[in-house]
Parts: sequence; structure tokens; C-alpha cells
Amino acid sequence: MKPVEADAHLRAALRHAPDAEVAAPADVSAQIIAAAHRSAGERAAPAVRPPTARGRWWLQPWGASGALATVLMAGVIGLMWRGETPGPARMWPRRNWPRYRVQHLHPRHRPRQPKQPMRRRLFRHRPSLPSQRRPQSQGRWQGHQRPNRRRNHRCKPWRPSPVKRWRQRVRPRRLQVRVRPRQRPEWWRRTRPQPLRQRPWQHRHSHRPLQPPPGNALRPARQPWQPWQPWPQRRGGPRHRPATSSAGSPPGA
Amino acid sequence: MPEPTDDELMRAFAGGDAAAFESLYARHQAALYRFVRRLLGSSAATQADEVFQDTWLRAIQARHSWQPQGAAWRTWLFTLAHHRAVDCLRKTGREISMESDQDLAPWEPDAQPWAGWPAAQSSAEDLAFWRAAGQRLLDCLDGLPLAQKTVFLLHHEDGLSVDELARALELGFETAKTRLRYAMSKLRSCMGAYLPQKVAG
Repeated sequence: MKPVEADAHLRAALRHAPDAEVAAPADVSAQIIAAAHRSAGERAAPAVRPPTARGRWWLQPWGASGALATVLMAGVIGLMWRGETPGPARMWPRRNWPRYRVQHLHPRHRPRQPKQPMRRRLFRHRPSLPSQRRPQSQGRWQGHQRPNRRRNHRCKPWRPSPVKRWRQRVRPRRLQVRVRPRQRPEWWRRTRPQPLRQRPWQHRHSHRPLQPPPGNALRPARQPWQPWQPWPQRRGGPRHRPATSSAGSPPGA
Repeated sequence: MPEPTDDELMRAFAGGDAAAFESLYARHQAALYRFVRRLLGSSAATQADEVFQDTWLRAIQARHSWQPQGAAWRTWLFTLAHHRAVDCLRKTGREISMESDQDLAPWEPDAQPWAGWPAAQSSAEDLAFWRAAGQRLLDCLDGLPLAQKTVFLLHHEDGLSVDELARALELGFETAKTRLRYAMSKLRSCMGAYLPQKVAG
């Protein structure tokens, strides 16, 4: 690589050119210096950090479009590879459902009571009245003795009927929870809303009007005619009179 | 105490020292003004002040974002002026061709480089001769394309090497070299047509 030597004559001619000694106009220089002084007095603007390589890629006009196209293309390829539309039935096949352990309990099963604290277990007999005192030996430390256990405190698991077992095997239920009404005290039951014992129009939250119905609303619209009652006199006279025997007519008729 | 470099002065100016900018301005304003005038030529000499001022204002605005990137601050300033001159010429409607066809053709050196230059001496006659040669060189520069003119001025006026030229103007090394040789060849031819009469006279 041969370097290019500067022409000494051309450089000399350039140095002796008529504009070699020319300088910038004074007013232009003054304006430039004034602008420099003004800008030097200003606070430095926060430096804009040049974006990183990834940021520069996103700032490109084709960056976001390319990312969106990539996502769409990946989705299309995924659908083609899967061969079927996504859905909950396929997202979680039934054969992969978790099998919960089902424990069948007897309807009269009671859960195991929590153990008494050690202090209560060791000092069971603490009579408060002197007349109820036991012998001295029973009120002392009895931790060495084997505590009495409740009979049947561990219930044998109740086995359901063969029909239920067959149904559980054919169509397993994911979870069996026996809901038993909770035992509530009496005062709690009294505070609960009672069943409706009022007339619908008397009920507070009914949509019916609060005014009681008219008095004849509870009666039939027309009382059936009885043979002992006088026949109502209509305008134009009765058209027909049912055939009634005189023996059956009331005395006043 | 050594003189602070241009980079140190620019950093001091970015920190708020206006006196540092005054030193920078005093150091480079004459050369930059000459460069801008010669680059624009006689046809656009009226816009030299505007380009010169705009260049310095841009340097002032870029004081916080400027970072020394291997090239000298003076080179960066001259490159800034070159870009501003190109913008100015484009704005005035002139056709600027930065890619000349001659860049692709191999350069053929002159068979007989002109050697009729007198030795530069301090005599009054020689000084007048060189003054006339300089004027002639400016006239010849007007006939050069802007790309070759820029390369020649930066090489001969600012003393940049071809490698630095290529990096400053973002050109290939061979392109910068070819432009420089074409410019020197044309200027030699242009000057040779004029100078023998002077030398003979």
C-alpha cells in the first residue's frame, strides 16, 4: 500500500493563496462566542443513553413487525403441527386427571377427638369437693399408668356397597364430601330467618301491595243459589225457574 | 505548562467552561473559515459565513454528546463543516455528486509530473509568484468536484493521512486514495498550464 505523498508545491501555493490570512468576520465570531457563553451557563441536559443492541433492534421500523410476524408464524406452525384446535378437553386429557383418594366413612362416623392435654391426662381425678376425694394414691402422679382408651376410638373404615364400588370404578367421582348440617346452638337457630308463616300480601319483602285485599276477595264471587232462598228478582222477570218441588221449598217462599 | 489538547478543552467546555471554548475557537477558527471558503468556492462564497457559524453552533450543541472516537477534535470539526457545506450546496439547488465515476476507474499517474516549480524563497519576486500561484490554485479548485476538493483540502490543509480521511468521511481507503490522486493530478495539470508562463516570465 503505497502512501500518497502530499504535493509540496501545491501545499506551498495553498499556503500563499490570497485567502490564507483571512479570518472569520468579527460579528460572526462575537455571535459564536456569545452562543458558547449562553450554552455554558445552561445546565447540562440529561445524557441520552444510547440504546443497547437489543433496544436498537426494537427501535428499527421492522423490529416490532418482525416480532409480531414471528409470533403469528409460530402459532400457525403450532396449530398445523398439533392438527386440531386447542380446547380444554384436549388441554387436559381425562386420562391424566389426578385420582383423588376416596375414603368412605360410615354415616355415623365421628372424627377422632383430639387428645387431652398431658396435664389433664395425668391428673384425671381432681375432685373439688372434699366429699368427692379419692384415695391419696389416685390423686397423684399417674403418668406411668397406661391411660384408658375409648373403645372404638379408631373406627374401621366403612366399606361401601358393591354397587357403589362398581359405580366408583366405572365413573369415578373426583371427590366425595359428606356435608352434614352443623350443630348450632339454640340461640343461633332462633336468630335465623324463620320460614314464612304470613300471608303473601302481609310479607314484608313480597312484591304484593301492603294493602290488605278487599273483604269479598276471600269469598267466592257468587254464592250458589239455595232452594230455601228467595229467587232474585231480575229486571224483565225470570226467564226460567228451575224445577223444584214444593216440598223442598223453604217456608217463606 | 503544556497547552491543553482539543479534547481536554472540549471536555472543559462541556463542563461549563466558556473560556475553554474561546481557546478552541481561537485555535481553529481561521483554518476552518479558510476550509469552508475554499470548499464552497467563489460561486457560493456569500454563504461561507453561514456555514461557518452553523458549524460552530453545532459543535456547541454537541458538547455533551461528543466523545473522542479515535479521530482528533479538529478532524471532527472539519468533517462537520464538510457536511454543512454539502447541505448548503444542496439547499441552493446545486447538483452534488459525491460518487464520481472516476472513483471506480484505476488511476493512471501522470507520465511526466510537472517539475517546473521554483524553490520557495523569501524573495519578493518569489513571494509574488507564490501569491499568484495560490490565486491560480483557488481558481483550479473551483473546477474540482466537491468530493475531490474535500479530500484534497483535508489532506493538504489539515494534514490528514489517507486512512484518517477515509475514516473521517466514511469512505473506503481506496476511494479516498483515488479521489486524492485525481484531485492532485487535475490541479497539477491546471497549474502547469499556467505556471510555465509565469516561470518563463
